[in-house]
Amino acid sequence: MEIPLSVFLFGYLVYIAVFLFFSFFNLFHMTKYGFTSFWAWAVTVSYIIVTALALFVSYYYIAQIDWTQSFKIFDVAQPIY
Amino acid sequence: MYSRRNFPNQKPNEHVLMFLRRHWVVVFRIIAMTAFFAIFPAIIYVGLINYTGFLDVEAYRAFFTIMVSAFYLFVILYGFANFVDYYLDVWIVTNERIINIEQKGLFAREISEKELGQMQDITSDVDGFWATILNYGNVYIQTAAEKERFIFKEIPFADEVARRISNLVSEYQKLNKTIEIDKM
Repeated sequence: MEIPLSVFLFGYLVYIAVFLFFSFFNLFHMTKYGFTSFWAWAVTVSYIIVTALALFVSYYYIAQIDWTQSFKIFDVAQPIY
Repeated sequence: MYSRRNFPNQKPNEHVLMFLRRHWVVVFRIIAMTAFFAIFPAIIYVGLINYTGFLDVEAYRAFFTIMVSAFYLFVILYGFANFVDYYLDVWIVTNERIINIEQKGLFAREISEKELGQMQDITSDVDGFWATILNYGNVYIQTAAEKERFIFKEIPFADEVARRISNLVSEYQKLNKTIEIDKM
């Protein structure tokens, strides 16, 4: 049984959308109700930087892949054993 | 925005006496859990690269890349969401009242307040090995309203905080009685 790799990419993009939705609300709470202190801003800015870095590194590796290929489910165990 | 000196609906002669958040051990727990989760993909990657040929197949490598990326994004979000939950839970004790601000998940926020004169029973509870060593615990404050009570969760120096609030309540009640007698 084969599944086009692009299905996983589509699922991943949906996941990213959900991730950004939750990130937005967390950042919204932090900026609206977060008390003014250095640590609050340091953690918030660190979160934005680390997230941007993770998305950039992910993009770097994902962009190198040929997404027209298929994923063979029943062959998954073969390279392991 | 709130600060240690100012908060919404502050009365003219009201000033903050205690501004409490949970103990730093909660932040440590969040960092430790986040770091613990973050190690997993690295261990699996080392295992797959050294003992199997799984990542030699481009399709499987693509699948692994997506899964690792999704997992790391989840770990980053988990850490930050927990920090937001920690940071936005605040208990403020002023010379007139106690304000309880709690972030309950992403879409619920609860703010309750009661005057010091309405506090009835103040109890502190330090339970467990780490709580005893690091000196943190819960403070339960029963108000005059039927079922309502405030819970200061995992705050540092719980015993001392309970004692100070108890003193404040006594002083507040004495002061109010004096004012009432003066008015007569």
